[in-house]
Amino acid sequence: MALLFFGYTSCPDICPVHLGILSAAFDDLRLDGGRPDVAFVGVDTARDTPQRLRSYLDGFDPEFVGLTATPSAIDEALGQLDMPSVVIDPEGKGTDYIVGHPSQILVFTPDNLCHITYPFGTRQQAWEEDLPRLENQIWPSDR
Amino acid sequence: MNWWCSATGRNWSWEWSPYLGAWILFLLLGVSMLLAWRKDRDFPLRRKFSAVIGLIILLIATDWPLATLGAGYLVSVQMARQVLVVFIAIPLLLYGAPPVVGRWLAAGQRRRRAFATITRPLVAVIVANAILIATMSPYFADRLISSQWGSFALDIAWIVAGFIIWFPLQPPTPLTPRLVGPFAMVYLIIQSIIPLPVAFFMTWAEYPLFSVFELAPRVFDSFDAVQDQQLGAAIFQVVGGLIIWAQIAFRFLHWAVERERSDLEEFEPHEETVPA
Repeated sequence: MALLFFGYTSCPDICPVHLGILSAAFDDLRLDGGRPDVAFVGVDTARDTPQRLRSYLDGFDPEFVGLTATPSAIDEALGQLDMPSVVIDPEGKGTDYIVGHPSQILVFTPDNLCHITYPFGTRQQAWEEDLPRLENQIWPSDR
Repeated sequence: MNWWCSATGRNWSWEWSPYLGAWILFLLLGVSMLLAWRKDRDFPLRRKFSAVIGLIILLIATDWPLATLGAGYLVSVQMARQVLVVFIAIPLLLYGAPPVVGRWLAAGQRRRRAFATITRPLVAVIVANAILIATMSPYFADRLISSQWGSFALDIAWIVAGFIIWFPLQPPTPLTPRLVGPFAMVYLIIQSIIPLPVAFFMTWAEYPLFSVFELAPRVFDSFDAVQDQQLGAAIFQVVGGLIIWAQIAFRFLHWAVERERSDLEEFEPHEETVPA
């Protein structure tokens, strides 16, 4: 099972909260198939260097994987996943900007498909209840 | 400038941002007290000092940074605010309340009856703890804390609960306490025990109970929502408990000294019984 999240390391609210909750849930969970892989894609390509991604993710869980790419490759990947593109606001103003990015976490179940996404606001208890079900390929049809 | 604290979802900042409502409340209470004290010039200085400290603590609990942190980031700070308001600020304010307040409460028949009802120990225990437990429940806290009006209602509920708890023990002069000596001690012991299950539940909960605090931007990186919740429960149990038990100890000593004095007076030989 793998979890995919597009965020950025300078994010003041959504990314650290999402990753923190996920990390706390992983501390409690014991899944038969082992820990799910977590890939965090740094969409702020100017600041999210591989080194910065690594040290940022180490603050949550050393096993979380950091990925980055060119802006066009990231937008193409987001497009394929039916997710909105990254927005830099305001553009071209040094490092003083915020980044608009999808706030949901995509879960790829053992069949390699994403049947469910988790929006910002998903709580630790929901993760701990849902991940074992997802591992067994059970997901709610209405999400 | 916001008028009252609430959960904003914004990243925590150490930039000073006072709350208009907290300062208005502080100034209203402060000016009212000053005016009332002018009418009762022989009101003891220690009581005035107590009211000033109570007022300052109330402002600390309702203004930045404690109110901001408590309403939107850390449940431990929210619990500390509750302890400050209910167990410290309100008893100090009541001890230092100008006599005009006591006279006003005792004046009208309806007011007197309402006051007599609310100071009945059983009523006070039930009503105050119902308010405190409700404000500590995730159902109410998560809903109220997200708006300034909701957060204001929560803080006012604490103030009301504080008054209800302390009225039977130290009403404003010239009213006399309904409970003294062992009765006051038993009342305080009951008040210290009833909220414990809530704090116990907070301590041992597997998950963060309050969504507002779980989903808030983190203030300290290595301090997660469950640790914050456990610290909150500890503050409520240990600090709140210590304050109540200090009161119990003080009242016990006071009662013991009074008893000893009255016993001595009783056994003191009177002039006519002294043998020649």
